[in-house]
Amino acid sequence: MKNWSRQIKRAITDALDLPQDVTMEMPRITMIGHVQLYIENHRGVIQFHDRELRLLLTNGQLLVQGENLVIQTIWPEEVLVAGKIHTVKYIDD
Amino acid sequence: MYNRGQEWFKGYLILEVTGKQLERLINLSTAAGITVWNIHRFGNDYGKMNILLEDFFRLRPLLKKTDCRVHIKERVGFPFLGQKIKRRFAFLLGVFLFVISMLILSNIVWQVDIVGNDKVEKDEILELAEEIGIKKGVLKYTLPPIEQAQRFFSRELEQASWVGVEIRGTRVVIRVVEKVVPEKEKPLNPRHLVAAKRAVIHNIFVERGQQKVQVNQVVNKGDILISGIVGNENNYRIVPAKGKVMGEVWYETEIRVPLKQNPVSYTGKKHENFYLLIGSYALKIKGYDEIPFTDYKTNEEKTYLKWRDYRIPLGWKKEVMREKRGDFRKLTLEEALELGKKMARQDVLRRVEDGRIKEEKVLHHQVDSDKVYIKMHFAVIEDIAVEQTIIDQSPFEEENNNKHDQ
Repeated sequence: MKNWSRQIKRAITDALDLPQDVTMEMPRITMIGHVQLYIENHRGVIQFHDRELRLLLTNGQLLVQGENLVIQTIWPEEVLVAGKIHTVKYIDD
Repeated sequence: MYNRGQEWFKGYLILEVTGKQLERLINLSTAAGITVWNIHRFGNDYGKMNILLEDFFRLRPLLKKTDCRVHIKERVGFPFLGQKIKRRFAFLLGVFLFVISMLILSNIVWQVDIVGNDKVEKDEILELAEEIGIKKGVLKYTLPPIEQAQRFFSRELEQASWVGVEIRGTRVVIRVVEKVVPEKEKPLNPRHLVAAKRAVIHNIFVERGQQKVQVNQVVNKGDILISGIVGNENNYRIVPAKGKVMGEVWYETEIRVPLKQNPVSYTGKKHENFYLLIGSYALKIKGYDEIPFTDYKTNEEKTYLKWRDYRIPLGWKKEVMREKRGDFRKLTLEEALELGKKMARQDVLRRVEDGRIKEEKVLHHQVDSDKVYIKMHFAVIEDIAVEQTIIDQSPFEEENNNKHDQ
């Protein structure tokens, strides 16, 4: 059932050429150099310390690795991370 | 993003968080609408974060849930300003005193300017101003209302037709517009108007007094033209005679005109020399090239250096030689006569005060080697009346006596 609704959503998204972050609840990630990272549509923090940030997404997780990581701001669906970012890794469930 | 100014205004806390479930604390607080920012985490169970003061108490139950402990490291923002103020009391006192003194000083009248007074003394106006409370050093609040001050000045200053009072910052400007009073005529002494010289009366206008002569009458020097005694022998009055008497006076003048005229004019060509002066010795520096003309006039200008009042024997001299136009003009007799007449006219008009030439005539002219002698006659209409004070108290008797004497 869920799979079926997702397929319809995707079909509509493709047909209407809509951005996928709006319809598919996919994260939109904006990165400024390696110093700042802005993630929309996250589902919460799983793990955080100064070398690693693990965020929950609708499908899977996002792993950010670096040095001196700081969560500059956090809202229910958005997070702004600063520091020296080495890796942004997408982990599927 | 977010507005730091707003957060500063509301006040926020920098918290030290200890506990293993910091991530859960973050999730729960964001879900609860608590704003947290600048989250650091060092190791497994120690971190730091900022939180709004108003959200701090809502964080408490979440701390219990997640087994975290917080310690307030720093309080930042407007609500905590009081504590800072206590520490920096002297500084703030300084700021306060500065503002206060600024306010006071800018509300003091530092200058009273008076504009537009010409005849009225400045001190007089200042005195009046002081009377009404406008003077240096008073507070602006104590000044009288402007309209009142203006009325006061208009009343007290009789010579002024309008007085404006204006406050410009720390300056009070009193603008005076003075009345233009026509000059008072001097009271005249009782007097006659008598002839200044021998003349023929051309016209006579009596303003006051009794006319004694008629037009075309010949008068001698000292004859009474307008008498200051009005009335007859039994009933008379002595007045200052006033009027205008124009008489025709004859003049003769002699003029000699050289036939060779040499008006100085320059061609515009010039030659410059420049000297350095050491004492009285002049050292030529510039101008060694040949002077390209022969007939010239030299102008020199010496400048010595000065130190205070002492003249230093060092300086420079500038010589400018200008070429003169070398043509001498030889006048014809007619031209010479014309020029002579012009000169004679000027000569005559210089001799009379207020007159015009009625007639002119060349009496005689004679050419002598390179000069022309011209003798001319002029009839000039001029004011011939001069005043003569009446001293005697019983003028008719005297007049009669005089008549007998004559």
